[in-house]
Amino acid sequence: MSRLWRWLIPLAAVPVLGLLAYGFRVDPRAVPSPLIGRPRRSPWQRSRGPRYPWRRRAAKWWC
Amino acid sequence: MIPELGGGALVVALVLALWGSIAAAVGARTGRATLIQSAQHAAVAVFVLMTACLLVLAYAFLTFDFSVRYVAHNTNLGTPFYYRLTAVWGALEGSIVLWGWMLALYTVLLVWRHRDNARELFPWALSVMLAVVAFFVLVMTIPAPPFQRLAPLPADGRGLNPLLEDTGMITHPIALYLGFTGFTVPFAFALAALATGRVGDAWITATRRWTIVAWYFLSLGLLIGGWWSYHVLGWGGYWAWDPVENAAFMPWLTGTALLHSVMIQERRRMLKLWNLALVILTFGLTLFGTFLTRSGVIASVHAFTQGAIGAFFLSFLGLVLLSALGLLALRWDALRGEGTLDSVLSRESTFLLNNVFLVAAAFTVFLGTVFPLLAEALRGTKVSVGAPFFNQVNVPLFLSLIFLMGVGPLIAWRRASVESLKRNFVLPVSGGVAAALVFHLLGVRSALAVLALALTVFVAATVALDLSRATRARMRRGEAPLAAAGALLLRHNRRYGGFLVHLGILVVTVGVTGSHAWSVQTETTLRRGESAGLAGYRFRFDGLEAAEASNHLAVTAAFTVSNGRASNVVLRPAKKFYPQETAPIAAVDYRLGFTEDLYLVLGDFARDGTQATVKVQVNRLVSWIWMGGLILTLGAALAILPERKGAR
Repeated sequence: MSRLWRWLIPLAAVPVLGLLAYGFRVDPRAVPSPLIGRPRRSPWQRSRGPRYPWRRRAAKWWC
Repeated sequence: MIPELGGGALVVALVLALWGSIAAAVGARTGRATLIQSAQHAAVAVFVLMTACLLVLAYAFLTFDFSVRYVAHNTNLGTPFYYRLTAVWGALEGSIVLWGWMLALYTVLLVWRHRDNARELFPWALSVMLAVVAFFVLVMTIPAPPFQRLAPLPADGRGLNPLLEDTGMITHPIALYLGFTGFTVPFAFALAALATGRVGDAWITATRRWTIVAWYFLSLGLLIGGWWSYHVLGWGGYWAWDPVENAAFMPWLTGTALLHSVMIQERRRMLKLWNLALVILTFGLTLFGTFLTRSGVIASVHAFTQGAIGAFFLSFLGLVLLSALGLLALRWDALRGEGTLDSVLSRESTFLLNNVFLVAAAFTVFLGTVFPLLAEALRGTKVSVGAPFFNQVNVPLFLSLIFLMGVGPLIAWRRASVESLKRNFVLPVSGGVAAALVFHLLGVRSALAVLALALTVFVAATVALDLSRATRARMRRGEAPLAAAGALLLRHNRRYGGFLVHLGILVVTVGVTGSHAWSVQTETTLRRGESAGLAGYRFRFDGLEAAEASNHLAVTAAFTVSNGRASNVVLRPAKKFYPQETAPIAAVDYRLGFTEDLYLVLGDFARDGTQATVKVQVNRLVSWIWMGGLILTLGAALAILPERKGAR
C-alpha cells in the first residue's frame, strides 16, 4: 500500500464518528428499545399503581 | 464535608494521572528511569485516591447523605442496606466512579506485573493506562460529578430504579466493568508496541493472560446480564438485542476473535496488523458501549442519561481511534507478516475464517444497533431494528463458528493431509450425522434445531476424541485414567481450558436452541379457584394479597401448579408499586428445572382479588444456558493459570 493510501485507515473512523455525533440531534425515544416497557405494552401489564404519597393511598386503593 | 473530600480526591487524582501519563511517556522517550518511577508512584496514588472516592460515596449512601445530589437521586429512606451499597454504581455518576476505580486497579496490577519484565513496552503502556484513567477522572470532575451538592436538603431521596433492586446488581456490573476495563491493558500494550515500533510478539506475550482475564469477566457479565433480564425484567427471555446488550456483546465477539488470532501470530508470525487492529477495535467498542449507554443517543433499558457526557465520550473515542489507527498506518511497513498461508486445509485458515465470521457478527450487531441513527440521518425515517434482523444474520454465522470450533483444534498447522483429516474427523462427522437422524426420528422438525444439535454433537465428539487420545498416550506411560486426564488439564491448561470454553458454548447452544424451538406460553384470565393448563401443567388461581415493604407495595397472586408427577408447588408472581414509578413493576415467579422452567408473570387483576390475568411460560432448556456459562467461565479460569514450563 502506498504511503498516501495507508492514511485512509484512520480516516475511515471519521464517518462513524460523524454518525454518532448526529445522534445528539435525534430523539432516542422515537425508536424504542426492545426491552424498555416491553412487559408494559402487553395487555397483562395494564394495572396502574397508586401514586405518591403512596402509603396512604395504597390502603384506600386496596380496600 | 463528604462531598468536598470526594471532589478534592478526584481533582488530585486527575492531576496525578495526567502527570503519570506524561512522565511515563517522557521517561520512555528519554530513558530517564526516575520519571518512569515517578509515574509508577502516581499510578499507586491514583488507585488509593480512587478507592477513597468509592468508599466515601458508599459511606454517603449508607448514611443517607441527601446533601449529595447523586445519593438523593438514587436512594431513599426505605432502600434496604444492600441496595444502598449497589446503588453506589446504580446510575451514571457512580458507574463512572466504579469504572475509574477498576481502571486504576488494572493500572496498579500492570505496574506490579510488568515493571521488570517488559522494559521497552512497559513505560508506554503505563502512559496509555494513566491517560485513560485521567479521561475517566475528568468525566467525574466535569460532566458527571458524583459529589455535587444538593440544596435545599430534601427530607427523603427519590429512590433507586426498582429494576436494579436485585442481587445481580452486585455481580453483573462488577463482572461487566472488569471485562470492559480489562481490555484497556492489551490496548495499552498494543499502542506501546506501535509507539516503539516493537511490533513483534512481545506485546502478545505480555497481554495474553490479560486478554483472557478481560474476556472471562466480560463473558461472566453477559451471562449474569442474561440471567438478570430473565428473572427481573419479566418478559420471559434472556436476550433481546437491546443496544446495551449489543454494546457488551460486540467487544466480546472481537475479543474472542483476538484470542484465536494471536495464536496464529505466535505460531506462524502472521496477522501482526490484524491482531493490532483487533485490539484497537475491541477497546474502541468498549468505549462505544460506554458512549451508547451514557450519551442518550439510542434508547436502551440501561441508558443512563442525556447530557454533556456524550460529547466527552465521543471526543475521546475519536481521539483513541484516530491516534491508534494513525499509528497503525505509520507502522504499516513493519507489520507485514513473515509467514504465508500454505493451504486452505490448515489450522491457520480455520482460525482466519473464525475471525472473519466473528468480526462479521460484530459488524452486523454494530450496524443493527446504529441503524436507527443511519436511517434518520440519510432518509429522515425512524426505523427500529429488532430481533428478526439480528437472528437472521447472526444465526448462520454462529452455526458456522460452531462448526469451525470442531475443526480448528484438531486440524494440522500449515497443511492437513487427507490421512489426518480422516483420522480426526470421520468419527465426529459420523456422530453428528447420526445425531441429526436421531433428533429427526425423535420428532425434532425444525431444520435449524436439528442442524444446531448435530453440530454440537460433532464438536463435542472432536473434543472427546482429542482428550481420549491424549489421555491414552499418558496411560501408556503408566498413569491411571483419571490422573492422566487431570494432569492434561493442569499441564496443558491453555489448550484444555479452551476446550472447556468450547464445551460451555456447546451447552449454551443447546439451551438457546431448546428455548427457541420448544418453549410454549399462554395468557389467560382466571377467577379465584379456576384453573387452566399448559404443556402438562395445571395452574389454579388461589387469590391475591397485598403487603407493604420498606419502599414499595406488592400485590402478590398465588397459583398452585401441578403436573401430575411431583407434588404441587405454589408460585407467587407479583406486581410492585414504587412511589417513584408511574407504572407497576412485574416481579415474576418461576421454578427452574433441568429440562424446563415454569415461569409466571402476573398481569391485570381485579382489585377485590376475585380475578387475575396471568402469563404462563414453559421455557425449555433455559437452565442449560446458565450451566454452559458456568462451564465456559471455568474453562477461561483454567486458561488464565500459568502454563507449566516444559509441560508434557
